Amino acid sequence: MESVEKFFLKYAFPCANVLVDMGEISQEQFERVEQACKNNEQVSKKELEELFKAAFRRIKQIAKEMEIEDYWDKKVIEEYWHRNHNVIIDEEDGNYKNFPQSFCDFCKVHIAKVEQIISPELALIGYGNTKRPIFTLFVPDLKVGDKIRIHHAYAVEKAD
Amino acid sequence: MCLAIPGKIIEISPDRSCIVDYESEKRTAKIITDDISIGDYVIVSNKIVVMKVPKEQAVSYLNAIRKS
Repeated sequence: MESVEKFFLKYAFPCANVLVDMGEISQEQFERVEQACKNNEQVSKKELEELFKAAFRRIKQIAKEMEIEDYWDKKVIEEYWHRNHNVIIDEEDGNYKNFPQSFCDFCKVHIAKVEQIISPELALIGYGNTKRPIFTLFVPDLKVGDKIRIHHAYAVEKAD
Repeated sequence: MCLAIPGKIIEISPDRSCIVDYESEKRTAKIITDDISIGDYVIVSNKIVVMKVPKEQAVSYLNAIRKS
């Protein structure tokens, strides 16, 4: 079974791209998580908490609200990425208040349908009126018609 | 790289590769969807154009970044 660290990082990885652009994490830190994602390696909880400080501030809060002591519980992490993350963007918390509206939509987690497999690394997906390419790094066995959760330009997991 | 910053497409080749202008530098990227034209502002990730940003949003965002 997939570890909760890997589950968290699949969703958080695209944010690392943004954090490095904004100078909040270093290029070395970014390359370290990029390598881990590409090689399907695990990054430690400690390291993830240091990289994604804002996310863990919110995750700890969610754990309290759910009355779950261990904030690394999969249920807490899932609640954050499946629901809470989009709510925060709508409330324009933190960096999001500076982003253009279209980019905020890009930052949200969406349930999308696979419309076309473009290459082993890329697929075209659609949701609402939006159609765009996504990277299939984390879900390599996608088929046309699959429903998946996407974050930024990445497929994260199948949604059923 | 550049995932959070929109760039402007200044050239598109017949093979759908394009040149994206970030003011400080220019980069090449590949276009996948057919709704992208010269002059559009886009987000590029791993050398792929992954999203189009409406012009007024891109311009006001870039102005805001410049000021900060």
